[in-house]
Amino acid sequence: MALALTALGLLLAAIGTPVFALLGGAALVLFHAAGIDSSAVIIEFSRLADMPALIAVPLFTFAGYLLAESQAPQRMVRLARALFGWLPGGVAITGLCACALFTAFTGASGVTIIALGGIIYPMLKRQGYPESFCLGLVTTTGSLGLLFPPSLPIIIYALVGKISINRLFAAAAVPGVLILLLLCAYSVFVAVKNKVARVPFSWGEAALSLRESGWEIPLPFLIIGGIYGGFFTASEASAVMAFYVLLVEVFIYRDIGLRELPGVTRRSMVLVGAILIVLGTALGLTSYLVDAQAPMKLFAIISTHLSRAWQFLICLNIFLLVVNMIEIFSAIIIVVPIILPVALGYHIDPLHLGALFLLNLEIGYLTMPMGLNLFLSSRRFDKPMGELYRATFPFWIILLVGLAVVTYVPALSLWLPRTLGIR
Amino acid sequence: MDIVNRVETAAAGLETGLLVAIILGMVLLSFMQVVLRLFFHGGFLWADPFLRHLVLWVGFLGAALAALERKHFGWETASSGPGKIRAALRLLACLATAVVAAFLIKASWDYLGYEKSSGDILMTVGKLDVPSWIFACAIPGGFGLILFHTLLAGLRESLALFRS
Repeated sequence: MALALTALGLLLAAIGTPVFALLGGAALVLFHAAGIDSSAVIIEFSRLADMPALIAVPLFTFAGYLLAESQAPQRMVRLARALFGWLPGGVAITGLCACALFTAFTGASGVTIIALGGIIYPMLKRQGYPESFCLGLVTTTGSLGLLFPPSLPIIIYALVGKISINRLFAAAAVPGVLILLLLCAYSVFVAVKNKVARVPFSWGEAALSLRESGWEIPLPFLIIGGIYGGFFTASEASAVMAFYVLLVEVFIYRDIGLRELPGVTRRSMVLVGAILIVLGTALGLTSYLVDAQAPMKLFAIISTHLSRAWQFLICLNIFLLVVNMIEIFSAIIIVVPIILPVALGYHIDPLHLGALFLLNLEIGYLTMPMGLNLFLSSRRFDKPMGELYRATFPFWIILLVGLAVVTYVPALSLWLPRTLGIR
Repeated sequence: MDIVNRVETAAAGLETGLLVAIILGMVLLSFMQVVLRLFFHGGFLWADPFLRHLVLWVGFLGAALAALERKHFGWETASSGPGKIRAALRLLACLATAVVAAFLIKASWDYLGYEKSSGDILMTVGKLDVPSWIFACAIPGGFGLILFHTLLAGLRESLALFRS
């Protein structure tokens, strides 16, 4: 019976049944089999309304979509180019930094490739970077920034793993900077090797682009500074950001007219709804699994085969690269509650686990054959998948090196939360 | 077909309107709470539980629209095949989703009954006690909207499957 139901579940998953229906169905069946009233599934679901930080999800997403659909991406790229363009590899670094910031603020949902890729890809090509480098960089940057506050996957991870959002923001930031620096170094190398022209620095252009983005420049400082400085919680930061962005993009720059506001709201809340319903239905299923002591049983099985933490981490890395083919938010919501207790069994710090977990998912976006960024880029730039595999391969290798460092040097993730003393 | 589209568009319009109103309200209220806390060490006691429950409403309205736009997370590879096979697979997926949604509505209806009989108070605004079951209505209502859009989507797929 159990086998037949599992087979049915897999079959339904394969034909494209939404994840929330699979999770909800599984929870209903399991609760029924255990003789528990089905309303218990809803009691678990209703715990969504008890999570004080959950409001950060709709507010950050709303603000992120407003930014993405305004002229902010163009202004940001212009500013970054004026500031960094004169460096060797400067235009590529511009692209990397702009994308990282943009992804962090819009929630890493592929919006970056669509919104920024179209600006950065031709800019890089014009500057004389090799075609495959341009393509690889744009595809990689689609998820770069996932490790920086206030990225949505970090918030979801912290909510699901029951750790402080602000501490995880701090833990993920240093690994994020490491990845960014590695990619910048590679860009400089490619630029020097191919003798790519630099953009001469111009005070006039710098001043102009600074003034143009005058209202948006304070935003990262306000949000990141406010969180790290302990002025407000992540959910308060989301309230401040949503209010500020609404004011700036709709009423000051007027990039988004009042008539367009319902469309932007709807598009952003469709994503929020898709995330929250998976989160809610998963609460029922994971509470059942935790009651059945599934994580402890899993740990008992795994620890007989893998006695050391580093062996477990290698297997976890491989597992997560494959798992991300599902979809990043579902992967976090389903896997974290089960894997976190197992990792605790190996004395791995939850913050360290969070940082490497998220970096894994970031890399999963460009992992062959099914990484989401590969598909998005292929569609956006009209290139065959084979070409994208080749173009992203060097970037993928660099990210794997970064992942190895983050995985085996826990201090990298634990240093900043300790230093800042964030609770 | 035409009538299906019209009903769906009208429903989506209402849902979007409600979403915009709730989101704008949430942005203003939550921002005000931050300002009140930072500068006046105060704030409305009822605002936090109210905002937390609004998140649930927003989530369900978004999820209902996601059902309409086929934006729920799921494995898309299988259902992107050629015409008829795709319609058949999508129809099956819709039916499975509808069955689960129906059972979830039943479960949340029971839950709503328990909430009502418990008489719990969610928040007090002025002298008015707001019972928690009013906000719990979002759950059966939300699953109901999802079921509604899923059934219409299924209808569309079956028309595509059987017409030609």
